Amino acid sequence: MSRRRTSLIVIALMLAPTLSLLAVFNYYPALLGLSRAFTRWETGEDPQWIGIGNFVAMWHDEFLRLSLRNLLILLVASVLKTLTMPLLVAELLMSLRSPRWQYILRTAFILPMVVPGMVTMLLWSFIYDGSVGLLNQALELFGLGALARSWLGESATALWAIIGIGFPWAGGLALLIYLAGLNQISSDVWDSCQVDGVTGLRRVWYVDLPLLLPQVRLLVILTLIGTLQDFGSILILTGGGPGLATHVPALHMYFQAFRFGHLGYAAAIGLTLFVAIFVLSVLNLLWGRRLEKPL
Amino acid sequence: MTPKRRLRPSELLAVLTLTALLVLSLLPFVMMLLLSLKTNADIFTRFWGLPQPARWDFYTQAATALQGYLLNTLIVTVVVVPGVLWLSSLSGYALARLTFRGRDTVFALILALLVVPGILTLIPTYALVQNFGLLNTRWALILPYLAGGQVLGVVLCRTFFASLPDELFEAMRLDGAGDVQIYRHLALPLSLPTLATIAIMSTLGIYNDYIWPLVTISDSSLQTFTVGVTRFAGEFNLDYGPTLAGYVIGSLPLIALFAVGMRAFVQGVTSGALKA
Repeated sequence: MSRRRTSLIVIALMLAPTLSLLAVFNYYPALLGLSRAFTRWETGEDPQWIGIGNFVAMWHDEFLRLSLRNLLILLVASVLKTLTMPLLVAELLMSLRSPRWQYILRTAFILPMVVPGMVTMLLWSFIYDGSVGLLNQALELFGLGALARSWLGESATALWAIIGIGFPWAGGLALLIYLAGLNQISSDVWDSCQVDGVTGLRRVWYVDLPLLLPQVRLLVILTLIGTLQDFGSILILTGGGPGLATHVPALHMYFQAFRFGHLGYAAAIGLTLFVAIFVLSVLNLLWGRRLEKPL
Repeated sequence: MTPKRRLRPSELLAVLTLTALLVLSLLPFVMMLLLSLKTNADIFTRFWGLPQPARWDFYTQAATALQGYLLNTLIVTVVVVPGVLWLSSLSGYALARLTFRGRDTVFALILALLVVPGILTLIPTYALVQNFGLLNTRWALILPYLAGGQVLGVVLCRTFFASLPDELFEAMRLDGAGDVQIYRHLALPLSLPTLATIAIMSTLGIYNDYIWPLVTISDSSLQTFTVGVTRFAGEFNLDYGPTLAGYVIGSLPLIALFAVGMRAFVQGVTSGALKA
């Protein structure tokens, strides 16, 4: 073999910083998260093994059950948002014949991505503000002032207001991924569609969507994982309230750990959410396998 | 010159729909700019009107209140991002171009971390940092960010280095170059676009992180922008103008980052996404 071998010492030196940092701050906490879920572990105390005690407690936790309902609504809504508006915008952008306008509009649509996530959240909290919020002002402008309310402050509307954030949900990562996917479709495919008279919605449904399935698959799993884990925005906007109207399991975990000091119980909720994410990822992978099988 | 032609009806409909959606998407941000220059009285009486007079001093007020938080985020970013780039490129190079036993196992172990979500490790990492006595120090942010940023960093670098043609490396070896020289003078310069993608993603991750600094940093003189800005809103006694001005100021660093690296980011996201 002509290839010269690098001495093991050099290799070890190159990998050591990365591997030691990952060992301490990634592998060890991950393993700890798995094992501490089975302990009674309160802030400042040593953990005690209690088997599946935490999971039994979760089963009887009324708050958790209510938060699960909110999470399901949020999951369905977030997937629907990802699958509709960004795809519509991507298709409309592709239908424009001027590359220059396509580029300008694309840039304009992804512009909001540049704004820090927290600023967007705080801005939406201002939009929903009960006194001079943008939404109330807009309603008044159209003579619908009677509908004005504190959108995040009432249980009837709070969850829907959270879903409404980012309306019309048209830009962002999903748009970029759809555009990348559509750009990969060979122009021959669309030319022959044109010849065969398969145009408009029929082409989108029968030709584009099947070809976009890898992108759809990716976006669905990213959205599910993101929604399952996200509680920072809810913490900022409503704190889970009013009452439990916007409470979600991840937020429940945060409160259990950092407000009440039940670290072990919180770890059990964290582990459960991880298992949910893992199962969804595996299902997503299997879906991909099935699609790749030759017909 | 392309000949002037009339829009087909379907194209006109597309343009109109896109314009309507664009207006709705950007309206909140336009209103943020407009209202950031108005006093409360001006907002309450003439919500949609132009500011009379424009209160540019709100921006100085907001900048004074936020500068400490922004500086803290900057310090953490400046320490973490170069570290992530350096360590990920070294490891990525070793895992892609050097042969040793267990190489694929090491890479598989790092890949496995991609599926470990933050929700699982939040509480254990907090307990760990607490045990180290690092709570409420910059290290509580720097060390976990440095470790976490490398997961994607190593994967992207390794994938990139593995895609380079062997001939390049052979040629340098024949000229008598050692691994350190090959890494410095061949691999590193070629990987600049990949490194730019990693740098942007790490910076975004640090800038937007809310929960970790919220739970680990209690001293507001060490707090980062994302947590700081949520407290800052309360400082102006519900004066909307200066608060919104602060939101604009807080967006400027990321706007600058994207102005420099948008192309790299879009390419990185879309090409990386397709490989997933």
